[in-house]
Amino acid sequence: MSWQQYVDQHLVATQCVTMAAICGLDGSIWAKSPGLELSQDEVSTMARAFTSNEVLVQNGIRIGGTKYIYLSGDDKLIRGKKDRGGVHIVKTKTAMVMALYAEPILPEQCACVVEKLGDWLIQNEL
Amino acid sequence: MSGGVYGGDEVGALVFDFGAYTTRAGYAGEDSPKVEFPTHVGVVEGAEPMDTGATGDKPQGAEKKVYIDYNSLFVARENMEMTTPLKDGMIEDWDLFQMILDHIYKKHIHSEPELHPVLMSEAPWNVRGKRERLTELMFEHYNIPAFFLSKTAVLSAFANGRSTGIVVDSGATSTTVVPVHDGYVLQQAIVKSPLAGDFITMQCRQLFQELNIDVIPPYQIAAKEQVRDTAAPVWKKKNVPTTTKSFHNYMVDEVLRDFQASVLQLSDSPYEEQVAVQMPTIHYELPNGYNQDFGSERFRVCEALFDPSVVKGMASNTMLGVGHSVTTSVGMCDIDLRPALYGSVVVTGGNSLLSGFTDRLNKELSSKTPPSMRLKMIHNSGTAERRFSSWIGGSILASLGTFQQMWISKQEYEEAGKGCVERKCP
Repeated sequence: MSWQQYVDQHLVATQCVTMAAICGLDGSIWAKSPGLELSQDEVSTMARAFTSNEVLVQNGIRIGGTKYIYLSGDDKLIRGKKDRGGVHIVKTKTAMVMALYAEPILPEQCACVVEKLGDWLIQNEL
Repeated sequence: MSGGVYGGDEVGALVFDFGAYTTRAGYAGEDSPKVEFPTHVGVVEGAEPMDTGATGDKPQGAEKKVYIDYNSLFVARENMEMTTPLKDGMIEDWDLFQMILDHIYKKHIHSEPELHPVLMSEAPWNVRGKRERLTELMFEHYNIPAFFLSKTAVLSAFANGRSTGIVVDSGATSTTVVPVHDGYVLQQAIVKSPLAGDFITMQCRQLFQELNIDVIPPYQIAAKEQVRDTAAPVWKKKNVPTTTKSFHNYMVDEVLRDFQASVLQLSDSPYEEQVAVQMPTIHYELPNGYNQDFGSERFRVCEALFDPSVVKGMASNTMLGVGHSVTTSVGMCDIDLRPALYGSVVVTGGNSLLSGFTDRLNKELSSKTPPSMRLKMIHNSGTAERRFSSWIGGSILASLGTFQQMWISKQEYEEAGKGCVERKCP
């Protein structure tokens, strides 16, 4: 299955995610929803944040130039929020799964979908 | 769609709020908790399971007797040690915790756990392992139909009608400053300091030692006589069993806490001896009849909350005063959030009821707030509202119509396992 299929079928198709992307930990973008602008720079900043979150705490998470307020995070999970929407980023063995949501999707619904996929990928050594 | 929607608005949910000093429990939608009692419990190890009435709750198979709630806890008993299931705001002793829950269900709620969804408060710095264990306990042992965990700071903010703000919670064991954005705690910017109620109690204890006054808790007193100001007290000792040190200390602390609430006051500007001696004195009588006027001590003892350098024998730079904690916490947050945080500083917690606390904090913060930002402090003047704010916030949240889809239902727990608490209750 290609990475694009993960984005389309396992994330966006659930209707609990508005847009999604899967990126390598090195900053390369493997797959993303159409319309989601994402720069290499933003992705590598995010990847670094799993080890040291200081930059994001102070300046927020930037996705396609839009700023999301950094809410919480650890070595495998980052949560961000902007107005009525937000973002969840899950780290797996080799990749990051990023999912954006907006009203009427609830943050928890989106988190369930993304983290389930994240767990599955980790189990499969991806 | 993930997650089943749980019933209508009126679900008879229970709200539990375990604090360092007292535990609150009651039905969601009510304006104050049904029951409040000390989180401390008395434990008699290896005692004969004697039957002293309906007060003690004995665990199965364990060789100890546990006393919970005022009526059984405040009785002097031989070998009864005072202990608490919490440590640093998080559950440490799960057996004791479970006994307290059993006690609440049996003696106060008088209903079956499987009939009521439960919303519980937790420390903002609670860890994943403990959250999952708690979820497991509630679903597996108590068989509750739905569960939700929420941070105390978020609930306090809700109780004050805010979803964004910085919550200054001065309780018994610690004063915490927690920034909340849109109902989410900004974990990286939490500031904790041990300068809180228990610390002031300790300072009062020192004060009485310096003044050479014995603090005798009421349980040891059979009779007392009226005496003049500062005269030696005349009282008769009650015949009670030899108690443990922890019990005695707790009882002395109870007296000191009363002293704290009735006598202490924070001066509205940094403490100065000359100013403090001119302030009116307050007369206080200890349980054994000793009485005197307290003058400048009233202000000196609690000054440490805002200026830790006045405490003797403590490195001044290791701790942050309340005002400083707030500015530090805000300084760790996103720049765009700072104006909103200064715009709603929510003050809560039993220790914040110390007279002059909010005025002093307001004064300190207004001198530190950047000129471009507007400072607004939000504090409820009612005692109950301030002490129970996180419970009240829970009561409001759990009775909201829009909240009913947020519960972790039993079905969801069975499908996704205990890990779902991390996803559903951020």
